[in-house]
Amino acid sequence: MGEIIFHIFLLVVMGAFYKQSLDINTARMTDPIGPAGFPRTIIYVAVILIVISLVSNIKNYKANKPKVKEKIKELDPGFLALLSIIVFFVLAVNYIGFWFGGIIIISSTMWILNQRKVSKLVIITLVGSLVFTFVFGKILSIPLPRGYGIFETISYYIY
Amino acid sequence: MDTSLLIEALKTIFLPTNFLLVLAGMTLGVFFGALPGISSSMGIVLMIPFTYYMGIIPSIVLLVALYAGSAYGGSITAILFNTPGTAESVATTFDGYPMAQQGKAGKALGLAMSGSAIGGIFSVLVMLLLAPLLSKIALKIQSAEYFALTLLGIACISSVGSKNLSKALVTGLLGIIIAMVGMDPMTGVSRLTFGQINFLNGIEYIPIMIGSFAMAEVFKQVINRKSEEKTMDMGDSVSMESIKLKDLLVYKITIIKSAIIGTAVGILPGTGGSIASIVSYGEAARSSKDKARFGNGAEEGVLAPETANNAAGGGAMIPTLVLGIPGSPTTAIILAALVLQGLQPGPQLMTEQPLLLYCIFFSMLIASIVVFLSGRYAVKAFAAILKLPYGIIAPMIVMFSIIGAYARSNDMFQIWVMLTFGVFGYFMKKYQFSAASLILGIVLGNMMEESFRRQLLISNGSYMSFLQRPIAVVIFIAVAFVLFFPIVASMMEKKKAAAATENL
Repeated sequence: MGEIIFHIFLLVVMGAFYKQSLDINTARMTDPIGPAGFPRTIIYVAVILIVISLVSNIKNYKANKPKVKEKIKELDPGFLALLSIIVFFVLAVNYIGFWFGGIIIISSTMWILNQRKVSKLVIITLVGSLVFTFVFGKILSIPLPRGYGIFETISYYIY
Repeated sequence: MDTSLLIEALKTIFLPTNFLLVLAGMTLGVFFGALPGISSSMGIVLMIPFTYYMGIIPSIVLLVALYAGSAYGGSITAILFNTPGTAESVATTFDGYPMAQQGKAGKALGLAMSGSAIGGIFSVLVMLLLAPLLSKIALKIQSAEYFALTLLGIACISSVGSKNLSKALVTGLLGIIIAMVGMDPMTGVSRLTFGQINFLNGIEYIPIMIGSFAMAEVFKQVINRKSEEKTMDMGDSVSMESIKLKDLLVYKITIIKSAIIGTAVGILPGTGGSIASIVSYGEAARSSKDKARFGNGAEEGVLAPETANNAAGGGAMIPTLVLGIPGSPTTAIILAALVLQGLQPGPQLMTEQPLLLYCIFFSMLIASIVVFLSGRYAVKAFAAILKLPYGIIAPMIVMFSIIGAYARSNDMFQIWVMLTFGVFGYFMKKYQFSAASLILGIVLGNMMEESFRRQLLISNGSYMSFLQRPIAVVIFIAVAFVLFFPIVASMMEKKKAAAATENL
């Protein structure tokens, strides 16, 4: 069933792109097909292929319909937690700084993947975050976010 | 060829400073190439400020050695983590990662290293001998041929890179559509941007690549995790002892073909190693007696793309230096570095800076030889990572993915793109859609559209003009063969099987 939903999702994506292609300004066309011609053709071909694949999937699903209701693996708490942590990181990194964001990401990913030994978790988290921040912030001069207040002050000791 | 110039170039390259710079460039290249998101092009960009204080020859040999080393480095993470460090190494994951999972990580890395070195050396020798002649041939390749070539790239990856042709084509087409987001290259109007300013300059393919490969793999491992501690499970030994010259000689035809394909594709301006590696992988799979092994850890499946993408690296330097047209994004940056040094790449470079040209060729040659001789130590260092539990490796991959996406343009928006495609990539993987097709579609999409429209423009809208150019026709036939041969072959096999059952 999941595969059928994924196909429908792809059709929706193609539909959204098609709708966007209708808004392309073709007034300044210099070539025979213009800026909308190629994307639209690709969308038509993609939709045909998705529909073919979808039909074959529906047939397969009907032929081998599972008797027991399928468990949705993607509702796994670990997966959802990791996604939420990365989303939190992106939203908060400008306030908490990259080095502290790194600590959150590394420690929580380790925890989710069953690395529960506290000493190992603390050492790898601290060393990992500091090394990443130092190498990319100091050596490679990538302008990593420093955050505000105490986070910013500490970041100046690292890079 | 002027032998006195060759000797002069050799003397210059073996000056202690220059030689050390070649070694440093090669080492940095392997390192940058191995890091997902920190590609060779980014590595070269990061090194350019250091070259401000160097002379012309030292700075350029450093950058081209880095370029040569990165082509090999990309294969390390492709094999060990199913995370290609560069777009050129996407095809290496098809058989490299299965080999690693079967406990043959050392052998896969050894094959990649040997293929890389041979491909690199081959292309440099071709450059030395044929640079002037090849540059003339490359000029004959025009829009119709470029369009046909991009079509061949998509067809090859779709037919060999996935278990389901239509699903692989769907993701390839989606990639092409993503490539078209932003400004139309011919009229300058914005299109498919959903009203987002962030999309006006197009969508970067690096965050998409990192998301759909690296993050998707982490998500898969998290979802399928078990309570006990898990390592990468690829066997304890990754020694290089199993790779001997006679092991390589078994695949001599594959190596030679891939080196030729790589160099030939690399010479075409604007193509680069990603097409070369996929075309040669497709050719190796097509001509193999045991096609079923491809995708399940075939040794030729590692050798072919690695030989080709390194050969393409050398080949791509020809249009960059001789025509002033970069053969890949990385050579475009090398071109910029040459301009920074006050040089004007183009036909006159051959006459004005012949020594520099030969020095570039020799630095790439030495870098390839050094990769071959010293690569085993680098491999052992990287292979030690395999013994770590996945719970320690995964956070590092997440951090590299975040930094790789962010550092591309120092923009948080790229992390959103990476994360979105991480989730999308997980489902693609789960339902056997091809992430490699998606990336290739994005990489080739713009070139495909531009060459198609340009050809129509110069032929007053005649679609038949695509079939009036012999080279393009040959490539179109190859596209049809690649797409339809597996379908026809499977239909014939079914017929044969049905006939055999009837006879029984």
